[in-house]
Amino acid sequence: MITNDHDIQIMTLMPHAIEAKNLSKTFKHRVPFAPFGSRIPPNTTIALREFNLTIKAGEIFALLGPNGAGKTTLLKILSHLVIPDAGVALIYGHSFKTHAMRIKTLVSLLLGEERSFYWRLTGRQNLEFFAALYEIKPKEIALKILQVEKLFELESLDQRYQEYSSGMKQRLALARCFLSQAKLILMDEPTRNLDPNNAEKFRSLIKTYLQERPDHTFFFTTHNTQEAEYLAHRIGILDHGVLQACGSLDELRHLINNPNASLDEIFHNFTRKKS
Amino acid sequence: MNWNTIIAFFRRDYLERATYKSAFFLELGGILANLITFYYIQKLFITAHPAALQPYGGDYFAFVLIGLAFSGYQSTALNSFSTALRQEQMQGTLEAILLTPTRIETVMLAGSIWNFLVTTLKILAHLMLGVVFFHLDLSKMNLLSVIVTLIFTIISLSSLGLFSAGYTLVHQKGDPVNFVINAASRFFSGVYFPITMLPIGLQYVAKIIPLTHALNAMRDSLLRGYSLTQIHSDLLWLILFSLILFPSGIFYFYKSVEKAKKEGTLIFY
Repeated sequence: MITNDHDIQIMTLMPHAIEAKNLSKTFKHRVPFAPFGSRIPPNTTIALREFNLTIKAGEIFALLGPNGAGKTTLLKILSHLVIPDAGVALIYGHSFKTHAMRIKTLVSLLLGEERSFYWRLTGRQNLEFFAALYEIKPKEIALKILQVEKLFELESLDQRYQEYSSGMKQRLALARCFLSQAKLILMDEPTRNLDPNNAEKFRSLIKTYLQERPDHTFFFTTHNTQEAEYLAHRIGILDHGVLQACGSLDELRHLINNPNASLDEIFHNFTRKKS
Repeated sequence: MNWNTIIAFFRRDYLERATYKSAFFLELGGILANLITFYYIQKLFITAHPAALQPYGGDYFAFVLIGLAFSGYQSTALNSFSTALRQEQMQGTLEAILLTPTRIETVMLAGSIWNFLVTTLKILAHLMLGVVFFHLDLSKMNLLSVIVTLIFTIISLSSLGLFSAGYTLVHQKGDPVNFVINAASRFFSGVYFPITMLPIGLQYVAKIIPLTHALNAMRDSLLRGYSLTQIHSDLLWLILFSLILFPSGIFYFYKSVEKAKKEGTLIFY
């Protein structure tokens, strides 16, 4: 939700945080146990089809979509972990082809993956390692960790990661995400492993964090329509690799000619047709 | 490459290994058991004085100890790049690292430094135990020749490791060719016996293996105190291997990274 004129001014002046133009991606899977030398064509999964989207700097954007819709692939393309087959993604006007390392200082991605830490190291040792990789100066690392420790209430940072609860693991992943100096924050189902209380806490924390930093852009995927509605300026609905709809809640309601529709109803409307 | 990043990788590996407290003593025990075995094999043939060992002072124990110790570099160079990447893939941390402004070649190189250091310490342990307990004579050692040989040994052998790392990224498994190369070159390069004992045809095969020249130069430098001029033939072979294999290994590795990113296999395990 855009709150005031100041926010609008910032969003107008800054270059687009994301410009995705005609992004397409198909994954090929080798057929298991295919006889040696056989010419069985590989199975294919179309993850994205000519996907177009522009996100303004300072915007909060939620992407909804059923499982396998292509949401994670999109996030991985935007963070240069996967190269698209066709199309281009510009981050703050920079292309990955020419400014990959520059973009990596601008983008941070929260992985919904518990296995992305070193299990035998403590939470603090993990954060120290990733802080160095984010090129934070050695003298500033302790202070930066202290900041995220307070922000995310990381009470057992000196225990080994393998001893953490799912909630603590998720909070550590969030802390790592905010260690970097990134202005574009991408999150893949950030509240998936959190209980309702912690999920609620996370949402208000994100909201406060972003209100204090109006030049930061937040792009997240979720299955939780309430979360999308609570946080996002605009919402996109992705299904079968195609952006079915995109806009503010009112704009989405307008698209299905139902001014009172809930986001759940809108989601079902756009995804049921295809399935 | 950023020094702080390299230090961070090194510190991470140290902290992880430090959690396995008994590993150090077990490895030291393994080295000692190895040395004892070959010490007694040497005693078995003490009166034989095989002609093939004459260029190495006729001492089989000294011959095999250097062969064993320095062939460790081959295993490390062949495997540690691919292992560094494979471990990150398997642990699920490669994705998180590649989201930072860290290049994949940094992950590979910085993630291997610990392994190279451990291998170097193991070589030193071999030599020290040999000197202290088994009368290994290193009094003639030419340190400059040892260091120069070591540098070109690591470059030429690591170039093969780049091929292995590229294969691992694309196929998400260890390189099976690695095992064959490692085993074959241990046989041909004279780790356990002088290559002059091989049939003449196989001696030509031995010539095109980097480890053969690395071991020759290393034995000459350590046991006979040969200068750089005296080991120039083996050194030139190692430099030639480095000049051919290193650029082609880099090229293959970058092509593999690109392919893995396109196929989406870079971060899968």
